Amino acid sequence: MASFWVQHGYGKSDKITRLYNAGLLGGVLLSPADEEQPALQATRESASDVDVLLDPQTYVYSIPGGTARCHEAHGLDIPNLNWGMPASEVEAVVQAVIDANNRLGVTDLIAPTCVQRSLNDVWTSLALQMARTTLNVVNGQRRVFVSSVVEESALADWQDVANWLDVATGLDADGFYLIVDRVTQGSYPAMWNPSHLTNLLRLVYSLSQLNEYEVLAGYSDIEGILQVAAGASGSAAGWFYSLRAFSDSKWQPSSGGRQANPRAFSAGLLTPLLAVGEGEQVARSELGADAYPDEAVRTALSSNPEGWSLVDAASHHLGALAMIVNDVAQQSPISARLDAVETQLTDAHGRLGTLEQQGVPFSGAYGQRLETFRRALDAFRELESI
Amino acid sequence: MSLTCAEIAEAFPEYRFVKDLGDGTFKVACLIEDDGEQKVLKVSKAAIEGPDANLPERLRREIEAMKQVNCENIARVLAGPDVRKVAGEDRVFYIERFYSGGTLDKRLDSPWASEEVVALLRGLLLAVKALEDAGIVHRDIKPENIVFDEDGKPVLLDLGIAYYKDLSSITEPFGDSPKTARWAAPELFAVRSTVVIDSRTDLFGVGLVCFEAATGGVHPFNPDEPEHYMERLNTGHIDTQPLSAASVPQPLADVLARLLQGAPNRRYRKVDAALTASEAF
Repeated sequence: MASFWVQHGYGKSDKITRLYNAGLLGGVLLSPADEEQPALQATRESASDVDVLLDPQTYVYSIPGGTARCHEAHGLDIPNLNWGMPASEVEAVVQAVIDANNRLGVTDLIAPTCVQRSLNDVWTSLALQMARTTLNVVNGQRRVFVSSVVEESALADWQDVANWLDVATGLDADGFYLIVDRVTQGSYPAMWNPSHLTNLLRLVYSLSQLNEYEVLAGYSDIEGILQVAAGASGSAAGWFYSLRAFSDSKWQPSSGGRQANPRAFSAGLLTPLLAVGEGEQVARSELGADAYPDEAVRTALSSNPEGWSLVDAASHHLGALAMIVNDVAQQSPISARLDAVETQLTDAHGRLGTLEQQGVPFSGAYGQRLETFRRALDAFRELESI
Repeated sequence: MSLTCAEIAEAFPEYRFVKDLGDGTFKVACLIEDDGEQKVLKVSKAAIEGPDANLPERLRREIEAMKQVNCENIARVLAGPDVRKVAGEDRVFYIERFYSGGTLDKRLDSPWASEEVVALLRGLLLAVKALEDAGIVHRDIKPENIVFDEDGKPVLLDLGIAYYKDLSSITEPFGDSPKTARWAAPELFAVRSTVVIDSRTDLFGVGLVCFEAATGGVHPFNPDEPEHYMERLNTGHIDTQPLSAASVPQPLADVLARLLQGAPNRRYRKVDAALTASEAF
């Protein structure tokens, strides 16, 4: 069973189908913001024998100015969401989520939630109340994933995370759908604070391994590989950068941005390189086959990098990431998963260094990012004695 | 508030009094013989206002809980509660089954064989599982509250300070929880409104008494050395040397260490998971 999930969003074209046909897809997280009911129903049916969950995206209404295009069509527009909601209104939100799932024929539920800026702020109690209310209403008749959207800074202090875990692990749910709100507005791929990432891995480990919940890491890019290594049963990414890292800005009105330069994700470097320049030089180098194991990709990048479109970039990124996630998830026990990812990080870092010495002008952020992953993983293993 | 077994014997002439079993904070217990069968008669120390008065809430809950939970590892109520005039005042009484094997605190002078520890562990986990299913947290698992029946099966006594998840709290939410400090899980020392009390609290208690049985009475966190005691308790850092000295098999030591974790989220989430782990050896 594949562990890679698609984080569905606007502009899916045939990307889900391609992953599905390649046997790389473990599930689809449907976005009600991006398609109205008939289209979303069709999306749901396009991957008929993989897991499907509807992310109800109620968190949008706890983001200042947050809106979502198609929510109204699904009965999921909740402009009155606030931390002081009475129990009856919380129950109405839960019922709206259940109804939206029923209309789409989705049986397993993701409970509604809000964005938590910390793990002990006023929104935390609402998030827990929504989870408890969902579990009460469902009363064991359906599988329920508690959803939790936390700002990255909420992961800064392990004691806060541990205190939250004491409460959250009292919930009689089947799983958790975790999203980290990356406030960083820097260039893609955004850098992690290593201690925050360590605490995220510990959170995943505690939920999945110590407390035996299924854990699904939403809006995850390469850090999803680490989360699966730490015990998550799946990680989800999408075709746009905004589907690989959660940010408030995705849900706030904007005037639109500059179109991104196409990147070509290198599985051997665990880095999405710019197709023109970086990707083409790497593909032509003696380490080309290590960086890009797919010969067709190497050929495309080395012969015509300008022809590497955003659509190519998205499809290739998802396929390559899915293969790594699925391979890691095959390993057992957890220490073997972690060993495998450590080896990949070490190899990637070494190759990056070699290529830099050979004159490929990489962004310094690439190496730093791999070092951050490695530091976070090492600290996680030490703190959890794995 | 003092009450003696002699005064109780005088009020219950239909029974033959065998011996005084001692008194706790709220009750006096006497061993009696009724139709040739030994039983335990428990009488509340506090008097109530007349024979038709409501039972004290804590006592009412305790007896209801014992009647509600059907598990051979939880003490059984045979009769009561009822009210009788004892030592000149109306008092609540009830009768429990007598367990002839004595209490755990009298059996901690040397390390137990690991099979015996496993049997104790499983028996107590079954008791806590039955309580979990009924929405009850015992909160006072300690050697004095564990007796053994004639077959050596452990039985958990005294739900006097139990927590009932579906009932309103009797205690002040801004105080700490009722407990016996030496055997209390770390969350019982915290302000009640800031912590979660659930079956994981009892799992800690099970781990602690089983550690004591495995090591012949050694406490895993050494409360006799009060400096940094709470820190040791909160971090779940147990001294494993006594387990090694008692040749406790590693899988059993691992389960005990897991039960004794300071944070509830690092223990077993459900009693079933601990039971499954205990079946592995």
